[in-house]
Amino acid sequence: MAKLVLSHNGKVIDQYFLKKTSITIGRDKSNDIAIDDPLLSREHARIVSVGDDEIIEDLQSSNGTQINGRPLTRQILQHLDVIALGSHQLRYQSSRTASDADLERTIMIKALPRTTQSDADADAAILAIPVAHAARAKWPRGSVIVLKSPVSHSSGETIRLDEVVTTFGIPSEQLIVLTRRPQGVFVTHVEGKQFPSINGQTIGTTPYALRDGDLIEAAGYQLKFKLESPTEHA
Amino acid sequence: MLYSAEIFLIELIPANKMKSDSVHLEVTSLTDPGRVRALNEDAVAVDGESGFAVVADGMGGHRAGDVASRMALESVVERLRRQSRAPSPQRFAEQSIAAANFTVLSAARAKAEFKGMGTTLAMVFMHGQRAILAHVGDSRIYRLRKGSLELLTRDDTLLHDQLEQGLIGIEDAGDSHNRHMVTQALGIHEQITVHLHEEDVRRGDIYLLCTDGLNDLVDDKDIEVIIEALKTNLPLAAFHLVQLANDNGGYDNITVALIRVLNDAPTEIRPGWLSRLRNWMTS
Repeated sequence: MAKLVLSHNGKVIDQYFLKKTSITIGRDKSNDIAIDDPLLSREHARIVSVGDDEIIEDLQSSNGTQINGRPLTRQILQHLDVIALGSHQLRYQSSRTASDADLERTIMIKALPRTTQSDADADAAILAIPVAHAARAKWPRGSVIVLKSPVSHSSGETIRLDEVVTTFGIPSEQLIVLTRRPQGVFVTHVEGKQFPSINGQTIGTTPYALRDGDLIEAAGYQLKFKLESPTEHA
Repeated sequence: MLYSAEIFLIELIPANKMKSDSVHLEVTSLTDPGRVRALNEDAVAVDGESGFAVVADGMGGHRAGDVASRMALESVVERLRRQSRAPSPQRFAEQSIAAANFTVLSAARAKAEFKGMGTTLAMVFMHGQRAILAHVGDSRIYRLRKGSLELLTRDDTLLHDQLEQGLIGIEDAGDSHNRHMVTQALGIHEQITVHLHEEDVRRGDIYLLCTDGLNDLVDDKDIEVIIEALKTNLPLAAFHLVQLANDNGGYDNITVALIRVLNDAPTEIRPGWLSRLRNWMTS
């Protein structure tokens, strides 16, 4: 169970376990966590539990709340977050961290009770929830210099391979794909009668890990591959 | 490229030669345990002849998640292979999922080792010029149309409920601990709510069905880029999707099913006819 440790001037005063689904913090005695500090509003902040999330919200207090040094409006608490209210501090301690969730198995839980509004929108609301991770920043980058092209690109043009996949050729006829991966950039035959060749050697349908300076010939193209050293971007 | 042969095929085939009551499909599927888990609890089936794709993501019950997903999948597939979609396509979809729910629930109640097992399920089947979509849980259905990807399903997850009710903002979704909490699954209760949806089918549409092992780790933008770039080699597109989920961590089982609505029956595209068309175009 998560808990909050209250301290003042670096000295621990008390601790509170988050047992209820809604907990209020403020100067008034009626709060679940009552802190005798003139800088606090009577009802200063609230923590609501939803599943494994504890969501903290500032209740438009006069002097505001800070979380890890930044002004708080509302956010999901993470292990070791520091909440500053008036001259007091609350440290959030949880046995779980957001990255643990990656390895967790799916479990069943009761849905939140529907509000009238969300009921009306039930099937209209499709939210594209973003992925938990942004990866790729540290993946190797590559580019190709076009030496020969059947159509669209001009000779000498440099094409950066920033996307996860970049294709060259004509779909439904002759096509190759360059794939960006943590290990490097790979070239693979997509379709067509001719297989790509690297430095004059045909590679068939197997993905090939490109090395700096490799010459790719496929789909009427001649491309010189350039691998940017990952250390330049580290 | 000066012109696209595909566009001319649509315009030049006389209307009376186009089949109005059926569409030609290319289908593929791929499932992978990922890089962390030993067991694959996902299940998948695709069938281009009968025109359907189904994915299921099993869970719970002492290692019985794979039993739940396979059981639900087989139940639904058995019905989808029958020709009838009676009484109506939507009712048929609903009844198929209800029957699968009953099958998994009965097994879960009959055997101690199956207690608590359940599964998500997402399916798409073609009915004439319509696509019928149905799902329960957090497995998703997307569609790529004219190069842009659209999510067509609503996740049955606590995180989705939180966002919908404004408890947290979408920018905070990545900080949530509730990503893997599904609010609905087959095999848990006697009553379930099935999300049903019907779409018109257009030539060139590509449907993607996937389990959360894909969309938890791969951005919608990257899914779009991969399918659009590799749509003419659907198995390679599926391979790239699974590979990217693994490259991004592969924390969960990953399953994808793809349905591509072809411009026309592949056998009707004759090279001779095409080259005559080109000669005509360039003369």
